[in-house]
Amino acid sequence: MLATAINGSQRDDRAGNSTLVAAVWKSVAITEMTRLRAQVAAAYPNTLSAGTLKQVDEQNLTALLALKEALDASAMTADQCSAWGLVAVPRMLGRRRISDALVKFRDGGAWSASPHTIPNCSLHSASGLFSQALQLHGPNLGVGGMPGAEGDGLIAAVTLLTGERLPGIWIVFTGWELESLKDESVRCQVAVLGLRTGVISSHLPRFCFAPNQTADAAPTFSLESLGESIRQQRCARWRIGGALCAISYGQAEREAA
Amino acid sequence: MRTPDAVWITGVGAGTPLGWDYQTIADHLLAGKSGIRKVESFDVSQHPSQIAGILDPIPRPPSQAPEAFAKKPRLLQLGLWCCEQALRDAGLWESRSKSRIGLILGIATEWGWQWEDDAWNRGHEPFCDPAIDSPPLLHTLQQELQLSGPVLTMSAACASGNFAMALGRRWLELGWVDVVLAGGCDTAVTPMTLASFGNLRALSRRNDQPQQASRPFDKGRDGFVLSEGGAVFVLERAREARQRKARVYGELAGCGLSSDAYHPVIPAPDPTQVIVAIRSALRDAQLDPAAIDYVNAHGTGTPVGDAAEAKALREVFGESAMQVPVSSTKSMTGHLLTAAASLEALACLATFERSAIPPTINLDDPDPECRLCHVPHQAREQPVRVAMSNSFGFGGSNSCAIFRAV
Repeated sequence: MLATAINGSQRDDRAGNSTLVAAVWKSVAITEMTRLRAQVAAAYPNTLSAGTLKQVDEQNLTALLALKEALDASAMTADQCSAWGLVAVPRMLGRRRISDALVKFRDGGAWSASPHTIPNCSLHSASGLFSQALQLHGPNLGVGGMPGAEGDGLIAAVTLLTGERLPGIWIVFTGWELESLKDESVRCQVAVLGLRTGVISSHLPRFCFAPNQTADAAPTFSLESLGESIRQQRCARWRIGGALCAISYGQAEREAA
Repeated sequence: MRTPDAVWITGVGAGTPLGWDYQTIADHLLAGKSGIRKVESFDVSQHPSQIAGILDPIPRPPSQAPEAFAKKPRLLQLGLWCCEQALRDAGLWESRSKSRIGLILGIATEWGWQWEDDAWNRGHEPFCDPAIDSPPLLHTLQQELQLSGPVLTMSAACASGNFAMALGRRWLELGWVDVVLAGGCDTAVTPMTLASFGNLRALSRRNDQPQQASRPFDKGRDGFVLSEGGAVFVLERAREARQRKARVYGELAGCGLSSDAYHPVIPAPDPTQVIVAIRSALRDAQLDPAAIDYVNAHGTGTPVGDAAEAKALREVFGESAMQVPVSSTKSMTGHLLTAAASLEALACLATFERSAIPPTINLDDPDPECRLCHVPHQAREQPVRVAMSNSFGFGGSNSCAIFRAV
């Protein structure tokens, strides 16, 4: 949503150059959600109760599985990232659920309103859930929430990485490939990035953020373009307002970028 | 990388059940006035909780045309009111195009409010129809206010206001912006939200006594009272504020953030992470607990939350815990959710200007589990140099902000 410039007069290298310890993409059809719920339960046996998982929104459910894959890919244990922060960037959480809830409310009155709607469909519900799942004690927050606001997640993550002196941060982007009330063929899409402060190895993928690149003509950041970069393991650069961010997966790519 | 320059608060814009500007709200907070009343804007006869802090019709900011403003959703109206008022208060409205002004607002579910508004007030079916989705609210706010800096919609639930200030301060330190508008806005008093929170058993059911219902730290507390409103602050670097001889409300001296990682809605009974957030804020402000003159507690009036916060404060302040005045202004305002921390920041700033501490009203019978140096019923006259504001939220978000008089 950064429609205009971030023209930084100073640059913080802690944020400007981070190691990408994990980058995971996942796409799951809405029809697979029941199976997915069982998989997620098995992935977090000690941190998420069955009662909690029963109420989890489909975007968050898919993200939980992607987050577990990302943790595994990072070669860290959950304990090792307990001081990390987390930024969740959902898009229009809970459309079908809230639509159903509104119908029930209209027909059945106040007592028909589920107490689980708000805790599972708010902007912060995703980040709180993920921090509980991984037992993260760094700050967690939801960002954006609407289509076109995905870049906000990167801005918030970079701000937290530097301002809160975090060792690392997870960024979880989620959304439907198509906003629809009825289409049963739609897929839920998730991208997870794990950023560790600073460069810990020249061989590992890297995330760069430069706040003073207003003239660059890179494409605008989106969940879909991030997904393409992750799937193809291909270097990508994006414009987020006036800032520029880039992901590179290898040495040669970095030099080219 | 921290710049040595402090970050000052130089403008306030607010709309709450206690008033539509800083002075009025401060007056009412220090007078111990309750903004809670019976909900009459929709049928609450079947709602478990039938009371709330309700906004009157939102005033039109001077830059807005009457007809166009009247057609806008309430959340947008509220955002426009708070932001424009804050910029005018800071003396930056006319010159706003010359500065990079960023905007960070805590908003929990703008799409949810939109869907409910479409359903009940605009009669649109099917509910939540993608064909009529609105653009992100902050895009619209940015365009209408003609701001040229970055914008960020975020939510850490009821801790959002403190998170927004922490992020805004960092943007200033990094030099990304010249000025930041940071705060929170919430229009949560809707039929379904009131019912959902009520059915969650989070809300007070003292429906016959609206003004006595919000009872933080009292033995008779039975949940919080839902409320709505917004507060937005102008933050800028002290150097620039000094140069332009800005009026200064106070310094944002420190922020601390942490997560419980315990439960989606229940605060951890063990307040370890609350203590982490408070100590982190003190460290950030380079202050000892002894420097704190006043604590604006999160104090929502829920049985578990109030006791856990009191325990955390006793741990942080040690033997002096019974000497540091603590109050919960939610006793008067109700709980503004994503805007709560911002309104409580306003309450802290008012203590500097007025040399008085707002009370916790309705604290007739303090819970021994919540023993602290309470300020019950009436404001206490006392100079305040440093104030602390705690705010915790669903999702286990903990935050603490420290403000210093300038």
